[in-house]
Amino acid sequence: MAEAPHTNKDDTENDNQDAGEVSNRLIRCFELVFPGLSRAEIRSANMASLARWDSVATLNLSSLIDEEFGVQIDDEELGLLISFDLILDYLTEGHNAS
Amino acid sequence: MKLGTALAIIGRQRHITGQPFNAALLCGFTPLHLATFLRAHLSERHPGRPIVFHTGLFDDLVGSLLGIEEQTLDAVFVAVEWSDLDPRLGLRRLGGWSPRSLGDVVAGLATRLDQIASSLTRAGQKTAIAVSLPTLPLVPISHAAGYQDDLFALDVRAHVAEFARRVARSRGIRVLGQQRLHRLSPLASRHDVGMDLQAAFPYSRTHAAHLAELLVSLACPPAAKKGLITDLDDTLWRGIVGEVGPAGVTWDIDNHSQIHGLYQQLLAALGAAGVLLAVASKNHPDLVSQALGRDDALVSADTFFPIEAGWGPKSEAVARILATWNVSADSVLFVDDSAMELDEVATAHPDLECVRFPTGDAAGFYALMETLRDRLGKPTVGEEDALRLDSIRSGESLRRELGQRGAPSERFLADMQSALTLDFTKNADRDRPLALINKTNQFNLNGRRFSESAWADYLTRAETRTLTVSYRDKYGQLGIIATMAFRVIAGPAEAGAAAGPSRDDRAPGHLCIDTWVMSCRAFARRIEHRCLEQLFERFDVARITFDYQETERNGPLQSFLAGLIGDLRGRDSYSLGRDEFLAKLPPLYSAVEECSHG
Repeated sequence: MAEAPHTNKDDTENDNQDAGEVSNRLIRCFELVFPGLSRAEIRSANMASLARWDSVATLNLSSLIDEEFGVQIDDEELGLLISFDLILDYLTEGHNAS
Repeated sequence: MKLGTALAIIGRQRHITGQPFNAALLCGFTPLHLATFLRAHLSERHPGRPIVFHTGLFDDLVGSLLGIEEQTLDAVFVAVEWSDLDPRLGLRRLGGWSPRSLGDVVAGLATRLDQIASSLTRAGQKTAIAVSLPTLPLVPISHAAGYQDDLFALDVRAHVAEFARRVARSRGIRVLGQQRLHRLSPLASRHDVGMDLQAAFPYSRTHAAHLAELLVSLACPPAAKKGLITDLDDTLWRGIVGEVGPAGVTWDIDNHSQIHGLYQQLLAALGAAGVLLAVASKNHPDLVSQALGRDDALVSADTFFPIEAGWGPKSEAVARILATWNVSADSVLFVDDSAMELDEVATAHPDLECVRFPTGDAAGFYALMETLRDRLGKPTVGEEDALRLDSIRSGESLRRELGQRGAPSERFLADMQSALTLDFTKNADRDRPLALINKTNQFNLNGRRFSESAWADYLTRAETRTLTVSYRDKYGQLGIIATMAFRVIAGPAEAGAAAGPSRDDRAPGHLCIDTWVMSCRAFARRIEHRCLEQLFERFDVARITFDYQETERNGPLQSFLAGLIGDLRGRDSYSLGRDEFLAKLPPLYSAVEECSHG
């Protein structure tokens, strides 16, 4: 019988905690750029559904992410990060948010 | 300030409903973070007012300047950058950098600066404008290596310097201090090339934050302090005069005490610019007098008034000085080398700004000099600045009279040979009336402040009038000491404005005072009574209404008004009939002259 894949429970919990922390910090960035949005609205925010999310808002978000996480998003990638979820994924997968 | 902080400040402002503060940023690039930081700093400077922020046209600085001429704005910020002067001096256009083009760049830049200067000068007639000259490094357009300033670079900077000199002479225009910006924002970290190419915003966030902070200070400067009280031993000079004697204290390089000489030099300059200076020292008065009277002193003894030398607590000396000056503690700095003395004074006068003199610390002393210039600085020095100390010194006779009797005697007032000069000319070009309105707290009808544009707007209204009052008596001149802005309205005062029916309501019109301030140097001379008498007489009105508002500090105005119209509490309006006024009018002894500038 093949063995079940090995998982480290502590590592998974730590990853979840880190993702939650990054998510909360990213929500604070969104709250500053889009004041008045609820946390739920922020989590589902994307450029298509949020009229206020224009090019200036994108630049503000990018600068706040730099301030908050120390991550500079380059021009090409920035054009692809068109929702809260995509930005969160960008920060949690491979771009070591500090 | 970080961008997140700026956005949070702006976010908290969303629900403020007050009189809007209208500001505009004019620049050729995308305003982006510079606009954000400016809004945030303005919000902090004007916490009760929603900031309405306008921006100009992209890549068209001159067009933006033309566009604001018809607007009423409380502050305008103009950020000139190299690319506004020639697109080849920016990174977003590809016009060629051949050596042959450099002459053309310089010639075009001169023309462009001339256009901007003309537009600024026109716009500055109405609105305060804070201008920053190009802050970014010159792009490597020239054939010379970067470590050489060739003729091209020198020519370009010379044109910009001449432009700055020209606009700084124009009314309403203030040019940002390059030296302070250099220190806060080093040249090498100003240009964000990526953002410049990506979004046409050329500044790094830190540079934008520092530039915005300085531009807001330039356009909306904090109220300057009026006076400085200084210690002597190890402050005005090195050494303890009670130990080494008047000849033993020093302030020169040879005795390693040059910073004390520089401090004296700075105080002399501040005194000459109208800053009140006094001494609070724990010393024998005779020793102090001898040391201050030395021929080699850089600041003369009569620059200080009063000189409080004695053995009591310094807080009490400070209290006597404030009473003599008749200014509040928050308008004054106290400088002493002793932390203990600073604490004792600060405890008794919590609003007083107490600053430690850093004896033996040359760099700390240099920073102190800059702090003193910032706190006590004024953009221009006028006639009244030269009169201020003399008028306080001469007012000592009146204070002695008041101290003995609580109020000056009729005989004292009659013997003062006082004279008022009344000027009813409406003139927005004169700085002193607006400056007086914006810095007077105690005798102030309502505490209302005006921006330069709001004041100019008020004066352009046909029904408004102003009265500016100058005063002199046998003790000397006080200069311009009061300003009033009012409207003369046909017909009787509105129903309810009067305390009750009066026969004088049958008279043809009434007068509404919107703003009234008088310098505290002019109290107790019945100048305020004479002003009202002159308004009743010259405009033949039956009633004067006052746009009165209680403020934390306008107690003297409250006392005066209550003395004429009764208890101020619980009223909807404040007005005074001519008969009522004449019945309460004390004897007036001042001569009255009218001056007109045509």
